[in-house]
Amino acid sequence: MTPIRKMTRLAILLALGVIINYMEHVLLPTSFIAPGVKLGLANTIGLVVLYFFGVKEFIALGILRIVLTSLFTGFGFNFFIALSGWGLATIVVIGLYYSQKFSILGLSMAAAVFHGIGQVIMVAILYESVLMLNYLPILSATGIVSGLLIAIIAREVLRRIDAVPYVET
Amino acid sequence: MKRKITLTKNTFDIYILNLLVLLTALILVVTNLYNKPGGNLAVNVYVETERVDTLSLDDDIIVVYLKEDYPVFLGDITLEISGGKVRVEKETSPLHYCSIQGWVGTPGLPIVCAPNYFMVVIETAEAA
Repeated sequence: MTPIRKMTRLAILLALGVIINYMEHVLLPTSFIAPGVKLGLANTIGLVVLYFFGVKEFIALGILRIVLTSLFTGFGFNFFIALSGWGLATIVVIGLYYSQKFSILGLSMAAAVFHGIGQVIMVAILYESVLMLNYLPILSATGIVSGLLIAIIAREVLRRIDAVPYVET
Repeated sequence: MKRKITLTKNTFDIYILNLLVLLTALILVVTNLYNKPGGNLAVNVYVETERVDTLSLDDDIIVVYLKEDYPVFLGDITLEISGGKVRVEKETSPLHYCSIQGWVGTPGLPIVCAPNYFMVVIETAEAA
């Protein structure tokens, strides 16, 4: 794949990630269940990037998506919470990715759970309250479910892209 | 091209699912055993990350936080404490997540009004 084609595809995927993130926030609100609980549909884009491009692009796109989303929502404490969740999830995903033992389902579930753990730890630090850690089981449990759903969606997307003969990947 | 991740479920996915369920259960047990609030409980009110108020959970009260005092708010926020529980009764936000969340009586479980940079959480009075 030529560098320009690769850059163009990554830029399109990045834009999709930001748009999906925003649309989920508006059209599919789940935070009324408990604060921070969300499906995380934009993470399907991360899995697509990891599958087709690899770790470097996965990290770059993840950081850029958080920064671009924060341009809309502000660089307040939400930015640091998002960054910490993403950071912990990314470390776990990269470890599992290089082990080459797990399918997209395992990767996504682990990422979702550790994303929640990273977020709660940052909240506990920001608010200087250990009691905030009581919120961990809720986000861990919902993370398993949302991670599985995201993996199933991403898997169907990837199967369809893989099935197109003229798509150079 | 050979991919480093596969799309079909395998045994290691089942292992990691079991591991994640165990981890969640372990966190639940540990937080329930060792992270209990000691002493009297209070409602801490945060704007951005700064604690702006501490209210007793024993009193049945309604407190209004005004936009003119906190310019980051989208509008006034009404907080209600009753029967050892707290809720955001009224606020201005696009989706009203925090008022929809309703009554919360569990220590550590926050009510977050993200568009208003407002958060309420039950904590130990000593921590306040």
